[in-house]
Amino acid sequence: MSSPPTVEVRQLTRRFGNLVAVDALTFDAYRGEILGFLGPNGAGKSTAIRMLCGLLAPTSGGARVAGVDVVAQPDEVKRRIGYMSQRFSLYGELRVSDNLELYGALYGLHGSRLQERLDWAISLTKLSDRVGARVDELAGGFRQRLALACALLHEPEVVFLDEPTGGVDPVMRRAFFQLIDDLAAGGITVLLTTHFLDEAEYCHRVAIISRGRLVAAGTPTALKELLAGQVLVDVRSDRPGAALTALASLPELAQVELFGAGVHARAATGVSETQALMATADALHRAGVPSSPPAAALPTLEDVFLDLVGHEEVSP
Amino acid sequence: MSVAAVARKELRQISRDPRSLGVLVVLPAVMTLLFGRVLSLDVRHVPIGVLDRDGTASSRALVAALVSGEYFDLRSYAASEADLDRLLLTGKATLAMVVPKGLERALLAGEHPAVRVVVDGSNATSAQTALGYAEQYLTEAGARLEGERPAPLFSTRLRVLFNPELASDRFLLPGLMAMILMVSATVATALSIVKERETGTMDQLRVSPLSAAEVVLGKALPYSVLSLLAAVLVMATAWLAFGLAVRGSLLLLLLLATLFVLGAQGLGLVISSVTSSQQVAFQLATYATMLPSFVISGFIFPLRSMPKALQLLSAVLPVRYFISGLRAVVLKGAGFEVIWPEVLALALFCTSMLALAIWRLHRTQL
Repeated sequence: MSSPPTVEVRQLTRRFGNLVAVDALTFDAYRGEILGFLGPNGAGKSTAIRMLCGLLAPTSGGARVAGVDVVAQPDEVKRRIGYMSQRFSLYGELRVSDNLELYGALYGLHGSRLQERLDWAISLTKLSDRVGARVDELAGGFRQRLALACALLHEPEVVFLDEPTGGVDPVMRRAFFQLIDDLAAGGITVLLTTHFLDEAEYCHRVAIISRGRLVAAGTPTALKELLAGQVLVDVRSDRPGAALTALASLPELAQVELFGAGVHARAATGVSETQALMATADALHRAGVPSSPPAAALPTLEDVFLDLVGHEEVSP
Repeated sequence: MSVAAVARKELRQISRDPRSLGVLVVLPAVMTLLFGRVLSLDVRHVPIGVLDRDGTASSRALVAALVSGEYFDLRSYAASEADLDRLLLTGKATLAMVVPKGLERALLAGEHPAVRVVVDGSNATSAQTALGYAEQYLTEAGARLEGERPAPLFSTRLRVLFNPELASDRFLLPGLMAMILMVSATVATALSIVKERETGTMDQLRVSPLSAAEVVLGKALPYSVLSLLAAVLVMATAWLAFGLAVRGSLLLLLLLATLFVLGAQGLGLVISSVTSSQQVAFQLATYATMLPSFVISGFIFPLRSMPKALQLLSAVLPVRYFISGLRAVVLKGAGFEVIWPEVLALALFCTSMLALAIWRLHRTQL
């Protein structure tokens, strides 16, 4: 990328007592990019975001967001960023329009400029017929969009979305990512945290975080190539638990994980694809577990994640 | 400008929630009405028991004299000392009178027989008052029975200023009003920041360019307006229901109330900034305001008779200055030249609380 990064993070570290919540985090994000922080709960994603928003001072290291040093000028950072928390923090007892007006006013918008941005936000949220409704009467998907609109009213260069899709149904989630994609295409840098692996697939680049450290970063495709050369076996079954038990101690397989309605297994080193598939089919047959014929699978982000991070909790 | 945005948001929130609006604005007046009615240190209708060992016209006249006013009610005649003791013990009588045998005969003989009065001292205040009344009644009745009134050595002319009936409700009402306002104003804002923290909107405000001062003022100002409204309703209630008219300047009263309420709201915000849940904030706010305003504010118990340490403690309590200012303006019609120390103390309280709230909020932001 030719233009300078809009987010530059260097050795960013935050300790809480003895706990190192964020450990020497270093990365860049560029204009128009969607960068996803993927990691289990408690990995330090939110702490990192809070530091980048100027809400929390780093213990050491630093960062520049939209050209502003977050340690030296946290207040200036706030003017240039948008932030949406995982709880879509809106005032539930206020109307849609009240919430929008409040956030507009907090960022110094007024007069025709405010009206223009309000109209934009209402069309973005598709809430034109419910402007007078109380926010706590809205469904999750609408609240999510309203929260996003509030965070974007002042046209920030960078938006931080902390677990932006919690409690929202899959259809709404897909629509939401479409929206995020449009925003990025318009030149905004989007940093989001998630522990949903399928959401990470929507990101241009993914940074995998575990225990405060950056474990790997790259495009979803590049991350999957980390597992190139490894043989992955996919089994679909109505009884994934039984399949897991049947395969767990098979010497030809190194790692067996539940994967949706089935199981993903990685072949042990030196075991060929054919050997692995045959051994798997054999073991399932012996155990009497009904399943699809085992097939070689392409690595998913989940495989990468499990390979890098291990068995910490993560939602498929 | 952001102060106005926050204030408008707060007002909208409260107006969408009629219950909290009612609690904040109307409840103080209702409380004043309810508690003002029972708020009295005056003693009336004290139940008495009588052991009449004489059983003559004179002894009956004595008893009749005692219960002629509204202060004493004759509950029962006792048959024996033991009976009388039981009446006192069970609380059926608070005061007991024993008329000795031979009272009438002694009176006729020109002697001065003794009438014994026993009082239940477990409530020291009312016991003392009741004794005083009893003594007065019996002295007068005795004089009548003797048919003569001893001429006093010198005459005294007593005149009571500001509260001629010496009605204790006059004296207590301003204290009650101050206490109610203190609690309601503090609790109102004590919940507000914690609530925003609980719902996550605080983070949203913090990532905006809003300063801590703008948050504090944006919250304190609208709540103060509502608390002042509550104060006006409380005053009106005290006037309409209890005849407590304001003798002094209403404007001065408003100044006192504004400083007091704004300071209480600052205190509420400080409490809000050091607590993590609405429940804890509520408890802390009620404890911090209720007990001190009741016990060491001069509301009921005179400050002068308190131990030095408590007097010093009460010196930092705003409610103390508000009560004395209120009494001075309402009962005595005092002007600014008299109550400027109270105004100064409340202004100090107000600014220091708001500053502390801003500092706390600014600090927790980092």
